[in-house]
Amino acid sequence: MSLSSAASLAQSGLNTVTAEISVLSRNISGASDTSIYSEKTANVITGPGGASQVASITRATNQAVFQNLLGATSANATQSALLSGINTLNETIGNLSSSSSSSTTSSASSPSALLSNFTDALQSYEASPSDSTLAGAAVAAAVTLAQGLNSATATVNQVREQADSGIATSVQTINSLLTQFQTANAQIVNGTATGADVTNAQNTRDNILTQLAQQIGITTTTGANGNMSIYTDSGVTLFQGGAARNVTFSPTNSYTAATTGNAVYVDGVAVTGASASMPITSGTIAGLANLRDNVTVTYQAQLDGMAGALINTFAESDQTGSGPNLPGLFTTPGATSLPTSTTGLAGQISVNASVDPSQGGNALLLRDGGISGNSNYTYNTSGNTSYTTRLTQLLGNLSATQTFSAASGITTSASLSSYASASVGWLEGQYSNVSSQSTTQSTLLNTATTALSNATGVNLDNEMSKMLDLENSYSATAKLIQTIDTMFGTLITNLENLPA
Amino acid sequence: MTSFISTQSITTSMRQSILQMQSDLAANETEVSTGNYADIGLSLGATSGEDVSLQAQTSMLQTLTNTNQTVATRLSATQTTLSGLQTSAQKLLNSLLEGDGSNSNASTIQASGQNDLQGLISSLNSSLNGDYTFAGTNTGTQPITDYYATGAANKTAVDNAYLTAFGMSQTSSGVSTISGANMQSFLDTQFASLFQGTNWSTNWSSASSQTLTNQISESQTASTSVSANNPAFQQLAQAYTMVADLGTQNLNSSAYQAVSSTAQSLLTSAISNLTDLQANVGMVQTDVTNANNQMSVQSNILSTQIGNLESVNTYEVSTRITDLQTQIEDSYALTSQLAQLSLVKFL
Repeated sequence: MSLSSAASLAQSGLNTVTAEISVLSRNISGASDTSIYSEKTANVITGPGGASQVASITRATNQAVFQNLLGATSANATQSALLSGINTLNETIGNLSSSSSSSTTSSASSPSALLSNFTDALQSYEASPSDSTLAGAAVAAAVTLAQGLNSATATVNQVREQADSGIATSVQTINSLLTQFQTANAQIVNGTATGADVTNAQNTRDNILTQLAQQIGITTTTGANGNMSIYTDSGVTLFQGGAARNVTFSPTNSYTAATTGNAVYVDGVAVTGASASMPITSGTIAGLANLRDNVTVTYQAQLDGMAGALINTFAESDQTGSGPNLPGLFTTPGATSLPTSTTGLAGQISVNASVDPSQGGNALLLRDGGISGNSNYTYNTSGNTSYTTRLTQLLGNLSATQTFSAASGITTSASLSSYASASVGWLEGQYSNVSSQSTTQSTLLNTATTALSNATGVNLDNEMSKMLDLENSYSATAKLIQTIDTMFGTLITNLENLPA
Repeated sequence: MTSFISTQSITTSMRQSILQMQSDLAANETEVSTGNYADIGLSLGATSGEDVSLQAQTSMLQTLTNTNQTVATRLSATQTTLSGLQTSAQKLLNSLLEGDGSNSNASTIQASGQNDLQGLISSLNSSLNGDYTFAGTNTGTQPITDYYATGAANKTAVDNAYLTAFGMSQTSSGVSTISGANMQSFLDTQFASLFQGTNWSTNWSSASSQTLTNQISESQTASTSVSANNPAFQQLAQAYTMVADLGTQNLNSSAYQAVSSTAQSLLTSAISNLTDLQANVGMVQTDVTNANNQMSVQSNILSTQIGNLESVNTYEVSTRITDLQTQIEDSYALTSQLAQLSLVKFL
């Protein structure tokens, strides 16, 4: 062992400390990264001859906690996509409170409240059938009810359109993320093979994965050289063998009650919709697809059921012969017979112009019948001004039990008003349920994020104390070099002083 | 084992809990100021349907209570009219009984008969809010033809029948020659038929025999008017017309006797029918009052139920607000203290 080899060891020591400081400063700058930043460690080994060197840089990982985070991210995204849609649907209900006396007339906008207002107006009119003001009020309440159903349908369609365009955006994001992923993955595979520092690429890849999990539920597997494969939570390949698969979706711009949205395809396999063979269960896309294809469709079926029941309840029968029943107070534009299917009725229902004073009609036809314009359908043939038989019949029909389509997901046999209340109950039930799910998922996501951060994140104090160590180590090495220098000096001076 | 915590999770957890507490505080403040849940739909969930349905039921009860006022007013007007008619019928009956068949005060009797007939017609033609009270469902048309109007169909029919039967008009001085038997036969057949069936509906009344029906509670429907076609009014009209317009003051004693006794028996029967009507109307009035009372009780129960669903315990919420305030203040203090806790500050 010579002084010069000692000097060269000290030299390698300085290099190592500098390299470690560089890693440390990367950690400090990453401490407050909002995306995932894993603490990096410089692995120092003592080489042949005792020289220390940084053999590799690795980062803290915890695969289990990270997978947990991906799952929590997807589940949270599902619920928040659903919740924001249901919040919009909630607009169709307005304020539920009954506390202020004016609430029933001003803020309550649910079909149920409007139906209740209309029934009350009809009841008042039945008590004074000769009063054309009350007839007008009843018809006005009917118009408000029809418009309420129209605007509720518009809201439902709007939610479906937004969900559809949300899916389109999500699909674009996924494709772009997969391209980025391909680059990062290639860097890691090459870097790992050549032993380069791939920690930055690994961080990038993890961040892409969390963004991807936001859009669609995923699972991952890692092969040789850190080559990663991604599958949807239903098992369809998104990325494998270094190549991204195509995610496709063709958006539908405008929705009506009868529209069915297109499915999202991953690698040619349908993952959403009724025909999906491998349906995904989480991520924004799953939430939006559920909203677009189930929740809104069911709610629309309920609204359509109410509209259909209204049209049928107020239908007029032939008083002289055996003609078919015709639409009365409630109808759809241009209808000449009763509707055969309820699909989309809530969007079309309107009050017959012949009975609507604001459209030049006669509100008293509500009492007399013949709204359809055919005199055979007139009930009050004697022209008595206090004829109540028809009004009483209508009120009876309104409170009678009717049959509703099973597609609406609520009771199939109920009075119209119970059905309307049940619809409010259904929507609020969904709201309350999704809202609490969303809170739970968001809490789980926070926990998972904290767990990952604690498992792989940076603690500044820890880095600071490491820095003190490194500083000391650097000072000691520098001191060593200085000492060796002094020893060399001494040696050379002594050599000069030797007798020749 | 050394536990490890990242710098980020220390600050994040504090930030998130403050956000959470602040949104809780806002919701609780709304609850205290309104007394109801901040988001009723969220709190009630599927029970919201019940809430909405209770509200609909309450407003239906309110509507029925309001319409019952209209009904009660009509019934009370009807009751007053009926009692007025009964009083005047009784008076005429008393006068006839006092006269005891003698035609000495025939002209007085005839005059009061005319008064009573006019009173009957105007009573039956009375209206409320533009609706004729005794018109059945045909409330848009004045039910009884005014006997004293020019060319009135009922007056013409009586005149014609009189002329056909006796060959003279009621004002003719020859009426004193009409025998009691002839008068009795006229009264029992030709004259009586004028107040019945199609003659009544053609000449006297345009009212509908169908009375008004109203829903007075969620389950009860009641007949809430009296039609001018009721036999009581037909009998009254017959008796009054008989006394007023058959030339009573000029009749001989036996013919007058026939008129007087027929009128007496008609009035007696009419008064008894009126009493029945009054009793019926009274029962409906009681029904309406009972229905109103019952609905008011029901309404109170419903309000309580709605309150149970929607209301929060404001005392409890206030306490929660105080707690939250303390917690938020603690969080602020902790955040600022934690910010000081960094090794950097000691190097």
